[in-house]
Amino acid sequence: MSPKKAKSEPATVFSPELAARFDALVKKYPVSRSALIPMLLYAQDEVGYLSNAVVAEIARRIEITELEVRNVATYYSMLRFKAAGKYNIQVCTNISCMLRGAYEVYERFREELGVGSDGVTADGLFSLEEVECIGACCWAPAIQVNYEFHDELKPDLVPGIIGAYRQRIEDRAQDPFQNKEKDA
Amino acid sequence: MPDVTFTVDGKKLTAPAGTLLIDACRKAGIEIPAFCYYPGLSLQAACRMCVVRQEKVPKLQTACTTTVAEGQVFITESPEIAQARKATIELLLGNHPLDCPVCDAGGECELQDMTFKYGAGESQFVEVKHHRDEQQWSPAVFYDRPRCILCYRCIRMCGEGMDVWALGIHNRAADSVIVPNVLGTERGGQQLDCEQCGMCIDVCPVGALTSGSYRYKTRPWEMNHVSTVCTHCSDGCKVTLGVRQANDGSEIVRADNRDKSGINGDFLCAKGRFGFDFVESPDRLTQPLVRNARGRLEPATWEHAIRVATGKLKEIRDTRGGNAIGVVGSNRTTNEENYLLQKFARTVIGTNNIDHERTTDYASFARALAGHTGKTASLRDIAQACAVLLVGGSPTDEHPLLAWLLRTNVRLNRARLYIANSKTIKLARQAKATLDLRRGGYDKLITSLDSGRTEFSKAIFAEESLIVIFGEEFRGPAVENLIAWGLKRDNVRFAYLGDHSNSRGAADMGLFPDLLPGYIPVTAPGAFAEYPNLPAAPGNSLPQMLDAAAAGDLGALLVVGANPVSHAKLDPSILQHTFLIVQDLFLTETAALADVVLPAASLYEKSGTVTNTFGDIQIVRKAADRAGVKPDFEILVRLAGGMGIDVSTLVPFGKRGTTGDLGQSRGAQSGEADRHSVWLEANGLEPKLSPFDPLAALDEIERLVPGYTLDRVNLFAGNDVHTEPASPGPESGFVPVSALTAPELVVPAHDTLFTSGALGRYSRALGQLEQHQANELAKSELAKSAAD
Amino acid sequence: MVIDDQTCMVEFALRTMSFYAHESCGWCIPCREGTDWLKKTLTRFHAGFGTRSDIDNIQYLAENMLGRTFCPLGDAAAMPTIAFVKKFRKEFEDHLNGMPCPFAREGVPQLTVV
Repeated sequence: MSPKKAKSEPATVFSPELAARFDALVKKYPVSRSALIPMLLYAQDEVGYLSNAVVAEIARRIEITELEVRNVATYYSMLRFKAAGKYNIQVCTNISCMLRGAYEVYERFREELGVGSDGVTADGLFSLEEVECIGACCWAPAIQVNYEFHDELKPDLVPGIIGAYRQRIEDRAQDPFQNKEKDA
Repeated sequence: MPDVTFTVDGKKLTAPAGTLLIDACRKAGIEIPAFCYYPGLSLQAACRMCVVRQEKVPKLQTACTTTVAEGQVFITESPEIAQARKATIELLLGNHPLDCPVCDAGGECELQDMTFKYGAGESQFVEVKHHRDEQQWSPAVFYDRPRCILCYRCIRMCGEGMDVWALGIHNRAADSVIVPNVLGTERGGQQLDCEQCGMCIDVCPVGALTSGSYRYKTRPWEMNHVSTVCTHCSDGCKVTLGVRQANDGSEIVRADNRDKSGINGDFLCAKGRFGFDFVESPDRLTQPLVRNARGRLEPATWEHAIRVATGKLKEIRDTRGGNAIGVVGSNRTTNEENYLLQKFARTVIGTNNIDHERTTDYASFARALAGHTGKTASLRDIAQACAVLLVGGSPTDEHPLLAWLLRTNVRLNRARLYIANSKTIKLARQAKATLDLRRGGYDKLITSLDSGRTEFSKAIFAEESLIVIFGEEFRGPAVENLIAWGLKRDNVRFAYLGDHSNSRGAADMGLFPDLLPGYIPVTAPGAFAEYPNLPAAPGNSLPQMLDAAAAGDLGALLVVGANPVSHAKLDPSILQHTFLIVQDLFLTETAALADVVLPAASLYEKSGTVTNTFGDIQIVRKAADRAGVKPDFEILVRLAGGMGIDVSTLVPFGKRGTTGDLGQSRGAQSGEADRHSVWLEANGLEPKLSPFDPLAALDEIERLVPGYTLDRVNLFAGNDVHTEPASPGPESGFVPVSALTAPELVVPAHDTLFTSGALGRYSRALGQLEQHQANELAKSELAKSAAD
Repeated sequence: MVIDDQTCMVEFALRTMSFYAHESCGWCIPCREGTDWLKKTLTRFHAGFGTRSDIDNIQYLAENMLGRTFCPLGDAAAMPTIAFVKKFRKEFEDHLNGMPCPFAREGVPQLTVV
């Protein structure tokens, strides 16, 4: 064990911006644990998944046990404990989408990416997930890639979508202002 | 709440408005099944077993969440309801492993019972069952997810009941799983970091949570269940021991309190639940040992050992006088044994050199309360008190039952708990107000309370009635000051926290050099006049006896269930000129020096009574048996007999009993033999035909010891009966402070959740739990420092 | 919701049930165990391994979830399931005897459970 540091603000696993945001969020509610779910979502967006360190820090910030944080976090299927790809492709296969061919779309993604459900491509760029309704039934079948929607899909559109994201990464790599973006 | 009348299955029932229907029905003898409902814990309505039909309500209602109101009409059994319950069980059994033939709970499983009752005997389930491997969370707790029916009792018990919150639930739907608080890693599985009380195992309605010490050992119907009192701390929990035949007697395989009798209800801590295994320790003494000519202890027969011991005792008494002999009593033996020991010392040996290892200053407590009645609080009083002031102590560790009752009282009855302590204790979470005595210490308490300036003192003064619980931080004059403070207000009662299962009994029974049973001074004129040859002058306290031994003035020392060598950290050589007789379970540091070692029975292997630190007396029933050992009572009677004493002067046996009803008059009621024998015992009519019958000594205790006027019906029915040191008051000679009741003589044990003096050392289960918790603590410290 | 006659109602029932099995919180027994059981049975059934008694059992389970759960999610899972069996029993029977789904289309994967 290394000697303990002098009394100081405990180290955070989050960026200064997110840490500041959490500081404010915790004070916003009459009971600090009310901030738990937004914190989990924001933390996952920044870190990519809920690592042990993330769970520990959130527990500490709202003064509940890590067990309680996990009780909540494991309940929600959109919260992850393992890293997903940089672009997490969530294919809705619920009834409306299913009737309009979601499984064909999903199957095409599997073929194109070469991964199964919850799989991550070897380069870490994409992960594929079959999800329940994402609220886009009117434009079924629909998928969600991180926070972007793609709807009225057909299997033939799948390579284009994947290609567009690959292109985006290449563009970023060439753009000196964008490649500073912190990778999860 | 006003009473309301409602109808259940055509019967008119009355209960306070707002009572849960399930409780009201159970009180009226109408059984409503439930898995998730557990009295005293928060409501879940998750298992849907308690569904009932309520008139004018379209859907079936859960009885566990329906509160009764005037005029309601319910039906609790109908084909519709039976079908609903049957279907629920069928659904549960879908993923349930049906390994009842090997499951620990088989025979006492609530799911099994319900399946039997509602006849869900066939299964349409042909799918693959969910499977997860069994997990060991600690030496005490195993979890078998497939058997789990997710009633959440364990989670609530751990959180609400124990205030530990070590269990949670992860995932959802059919993947839901109960999890402990220490995350599994690649190297090790999930672990429990908690108080290891095992309450979660106890409340589990099925065999999902099983106990490390009991699992796969026996079947419930192979055990005898004996209700007795725990031998560890001084709270005196009732414990039901599951006992089974063994090669050398009968062994205890399980401890719980599932019948919820006694002060503790269903509560037991780790020591009560798992710490019984010291009786099975291979280190247990099972034959007497006598030091031979070469100076070695060698096994001997009981006759030989008694002959050697009594021969020497008699010789020293006759040549050097009784005061050349000392007697040290135990904090764990029964009242009857303690009483007999002091009577043996005072009348057979003829000395007041008798003492015990004092852990609390009960003598000052008794003296401070002399002349007052109704000023001590029983545990039941505490469980129902409106307001409690806890001064000092750390009940969560040292008095787990007290902590449990305080928590429960705060949670369920909104009792107000005030804590004044020099440390931060866990119960502060339940406290309405706390007073930090870190600075100033306990001397400052009364000034602070009387100041009326702080919120704390204002709140205390606003209480209509108050129970003050204090610990060994108060001794001698401090006890008297505190009690004097309380006596000024006529609404204060007291409880004083000691350490071992019968420390209070040892004090009450006069294991003092200057106090007779009932704290009557040996110098009081006419005290215990019927004792032949009672020496008039106070004897030596334990340290004085040891000083005398060092000076070569102590010819013999009889130590019963005590370990002064370890306790007082003695240099063993000071006992070399003293003939040492030790009655104990183990070859302790003291026993190893003895000339005669007599193997004694544990509290679980004898009968009698014990008094907890609150003054509640309970009956101890013999549960287990170990070939070779004898109860201390029997050993003492045999020592007296060996010294040529007519033992009937020591134990009043065979006096009244022979006129008692041996059962002849029962006639047509012969089937009620058990109740009849309770009645006989309660009226003192049962025959005490043997000098080894502790009840004969109890008769004498009741007759001679002030305060021990017992409600025998309750006592023998297995209930706790409150006594108080009802000394006759100053006018009848209750003396002021004597040097022998000096507070320095008090050495508290400060046992933790997993230690219990010698008994704890020889308990493998407690050792493992302590080790486990130490490891968990180290791991979490490591994790913390890594996070820094 | 309008569904054309080329849709397999067993598959439809299965997808509906796997949604509810996923969304069930697990709090109460009828919903937690019922949705899980029905999902498993429907999966097997749709894959062509069903028996005639399964059809009745599906209805029995759903009927015994209805009105017995803590929240209406269990009802919501049970009601359509009862309707599927009652109104489209013929389509269930068409899956019996090891027959593959009559509506299976070339190139479309059989619905499996995630």
